Amino acid sequence: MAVLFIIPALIFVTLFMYYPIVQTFIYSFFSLHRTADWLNAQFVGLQNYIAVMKSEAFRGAFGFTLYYTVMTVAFELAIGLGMAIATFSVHPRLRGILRAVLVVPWAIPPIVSAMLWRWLFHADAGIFGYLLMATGLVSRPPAFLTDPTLAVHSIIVASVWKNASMMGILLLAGLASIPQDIYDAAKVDGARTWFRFRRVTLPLLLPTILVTVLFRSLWALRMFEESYGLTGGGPGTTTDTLSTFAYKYFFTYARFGVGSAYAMVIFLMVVMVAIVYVNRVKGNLRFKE
Amino acid sequence: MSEVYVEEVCKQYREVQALDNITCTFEDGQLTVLVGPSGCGKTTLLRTIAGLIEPTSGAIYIGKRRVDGVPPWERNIAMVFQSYALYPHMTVFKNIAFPLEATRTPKDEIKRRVVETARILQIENLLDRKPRELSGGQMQRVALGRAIVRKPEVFLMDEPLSNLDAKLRVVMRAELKHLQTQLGVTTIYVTHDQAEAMTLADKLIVMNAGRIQQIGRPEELYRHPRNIFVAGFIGSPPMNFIEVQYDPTARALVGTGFQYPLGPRWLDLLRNRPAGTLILGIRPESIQVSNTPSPGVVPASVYVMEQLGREILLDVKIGPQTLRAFVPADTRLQMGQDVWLQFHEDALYLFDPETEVSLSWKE
Amino acid sequence: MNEQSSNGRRDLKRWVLEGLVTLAIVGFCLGPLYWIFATSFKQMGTEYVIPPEFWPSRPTLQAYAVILGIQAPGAEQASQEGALKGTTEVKASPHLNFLIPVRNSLIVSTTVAAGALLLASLAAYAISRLRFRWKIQSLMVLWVAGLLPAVIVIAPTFVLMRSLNLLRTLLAMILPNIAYNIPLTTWLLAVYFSQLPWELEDAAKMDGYRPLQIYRKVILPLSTPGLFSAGIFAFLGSWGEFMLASAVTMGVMEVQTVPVAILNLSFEYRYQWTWISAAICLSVALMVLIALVFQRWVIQGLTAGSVKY
Repeated sequence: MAVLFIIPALIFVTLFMYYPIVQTFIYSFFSLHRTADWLNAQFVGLQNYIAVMKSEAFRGAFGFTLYYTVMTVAFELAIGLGMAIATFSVHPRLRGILRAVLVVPWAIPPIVSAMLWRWLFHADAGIFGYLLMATGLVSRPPAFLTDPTLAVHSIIVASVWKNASMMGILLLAGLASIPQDIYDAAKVDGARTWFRFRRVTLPLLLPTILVTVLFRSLWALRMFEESYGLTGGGPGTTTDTLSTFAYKYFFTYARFGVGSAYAMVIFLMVVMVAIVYVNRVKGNLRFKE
Repeated sequence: MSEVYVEEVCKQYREVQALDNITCTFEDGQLTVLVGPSGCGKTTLLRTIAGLIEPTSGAIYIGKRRVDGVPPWERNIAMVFQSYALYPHMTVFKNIAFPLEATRTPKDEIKRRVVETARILQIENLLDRKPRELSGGQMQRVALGRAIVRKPEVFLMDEPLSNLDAKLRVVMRAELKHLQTQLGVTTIYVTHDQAEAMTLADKLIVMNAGRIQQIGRPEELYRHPRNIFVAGFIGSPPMNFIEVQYDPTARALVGTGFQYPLGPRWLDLLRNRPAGTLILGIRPESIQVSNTPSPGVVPASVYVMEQLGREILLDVKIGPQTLRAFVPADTRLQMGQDVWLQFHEDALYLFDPETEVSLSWKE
Repeated sequence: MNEQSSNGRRDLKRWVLEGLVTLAIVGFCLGPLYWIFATSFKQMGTEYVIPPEFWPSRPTLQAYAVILGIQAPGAEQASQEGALKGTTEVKASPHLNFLIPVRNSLIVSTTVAAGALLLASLAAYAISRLRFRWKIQSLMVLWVAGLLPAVIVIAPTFVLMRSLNLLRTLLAMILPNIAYNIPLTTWLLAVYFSQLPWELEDAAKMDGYRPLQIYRKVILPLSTPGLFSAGIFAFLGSWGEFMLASAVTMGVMEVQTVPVAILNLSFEYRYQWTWISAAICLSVALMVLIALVFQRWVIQGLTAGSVKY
């Protein structure tokens, strides 16, 4: 009887999430060049995967995806932790303002955020280029989005802006869940600010930090909009991620087989992180039996 | 070891006056209890002394040193929290060692002092455990250990026993008292439980609505309460209060259905007072109940009887008002039965209905 | 007295420090948005002036008028565009109408929020309040789906929509987005439902109510705040969805949602940053407003859906 309540949701999720995964897996073994010609699709075994692995582009995208994930998560953690501690420590009135402000970058759709940053990084009239020139650091505005090294890091900067405050919100919740008495006890025990942070706050926050980092990595590994919107993968394919490649193979080149092989690689990477993440948090997924 | 002196301390939160001009002394080596109902300001005062709250105005001295404005970690105090506030990620050893590590004590001395502390509190066998593996009583001991290990100038205790079950609380209360006497450290102890306050305190400070109501030794407060609040707060069950009319011509107090003739002591105290309303206070244990009338007694009827074993706690009605009194456990009484109450004159209290101050109170 | 005043000086120092820290974080979070906001009020072409104006000296609603189709992108702008491109060709541009994608996005997001809430609240009710055999397993299946990357499902979904003849319709976005938002909404609602007092349900059972009636007459009416906050997440989530939307709309203006439309606008009028900025401001305003107004719920939902569980 109770099962009837949960079945509609399960059907939707199966139809639009689990079933397509199986499909993508199957596609990845076929040569599907034209989206119209499904019935005569040719089974090619691991050829799609081999082609993908062999290609320079894949190695570039794979490397960029990993680099991007490590860099963004690291900087988001550092900045997010800083913002969380600041928000936690300031006067309650300021805390209210900060909590509201932290929500804003999260609320902006990723592709819109990418557009926004394209203007800030604009080669001729971008505010960053102007500010760098005005401070005399450079003689002409840097090509933020067209120089290979700069483009990679511009994307990272834009992502950090978009997600650091969300990280801050999560860490703030972690800070707030440590009982006030513990902080007070440390104070009267004679511990100064830095000693308290290192010996009490940080160790107690560590589980939250770990889960937050895992959670963000799950999303960073599949990054799509930031590259697609900011540089379109360019210059060349330097800022293409596994996701943008998969997407381009699907909808630009209409090569579903190769695209699916790319998608499976992302899937496997996400699954590996997800297993660690799920194991950390599933203990709390409990409801009265 | 030092005396703590609080001078004209006020704490103002937006609309609430949490502490209203508090001045008091916590004598060197004594255990002083801050007692009062919840929200009376006792915890705020304790936290102000700890430095966790800064007073709006006033001064606080520990020993000769003025400490308001000094951060808590420089005040050389130790505090035991109601929640114990043990560091959940540290072993018992590390918990007790924390205050020493924070003040950069050499390693071998830390070890020596932690082990010694654990021995005093009989928790040597728990040193490797984490707080979540401990029972409430054990956590309590660890919290105490963390407080005494650094030999502070002052112990601050914020309802340290209220998370224990009733039986253990009594045991720990005795141990705490013993330990405090042994160490001889100035201790400020906050509780809302007047029985706990009475048993522990060298000196009691009764607070209500952000103000000190009375300061004194436990028996002083019981015998000579300054006002209705203290009279009603100290003692269990609390003092009975009845509204009466003072009639100077009849030289008596007139209540519903009775007239209580006053003796020379009271007449002397009331000499200059016009006729009018007074509040009469009498402790349950000072009322004698008999089932035959005699001159000067107050007629009442039995309302409820609570058999306590050693005695019976009786609720009786005088008109609309209820009084409580004790009778021996073997007394035969029935509900609704008429009884006569005798108030001994020496056990009587009279309060001014306006100021609520006891008429026999002398500053 | 002396010490009192030093106390006051420390207070002042602390206030200044806290103020500066607050200002830095506000600047970090809102600075980029401010720049876009300021740009959207500039006269066409002046956005390229160096040094840039931090607030336009002659603010104008021109850009908004253009993207809302009130004012046609005239020859003046077109020729300016031509000049930038280095040609003299004057291209006649059609009227822009950014209200169409806004309308589409509103339809999609509202329907998705409603649909996800309906399915998720049923599932959440069963998970939090009823007994059944594969409960933890069903919960895991629903929850893990929320962690999957969109790119793995996108191609088969596209094929499915094509065979259902739903390409270039809003429904092609609505149906999958309902599924994408079920995991989080189910979780948020299950947590919310499990906190309602059990006595209510026991009382209703004694009165002879059946589970479906209890769900409708007891659980749902008591859960308005929970439904609302879960709904906000589904709304915001589907509003920003880009990958699927861009695939199934296949460049057809009439069914584009806001994210797709903005990207296309930025390709089509790549030199008109006042227009793009105005479009960004329009599409972000609603989201930011929702997030700020319902900040407390958003923060609760964010933590419940990632770290806290």
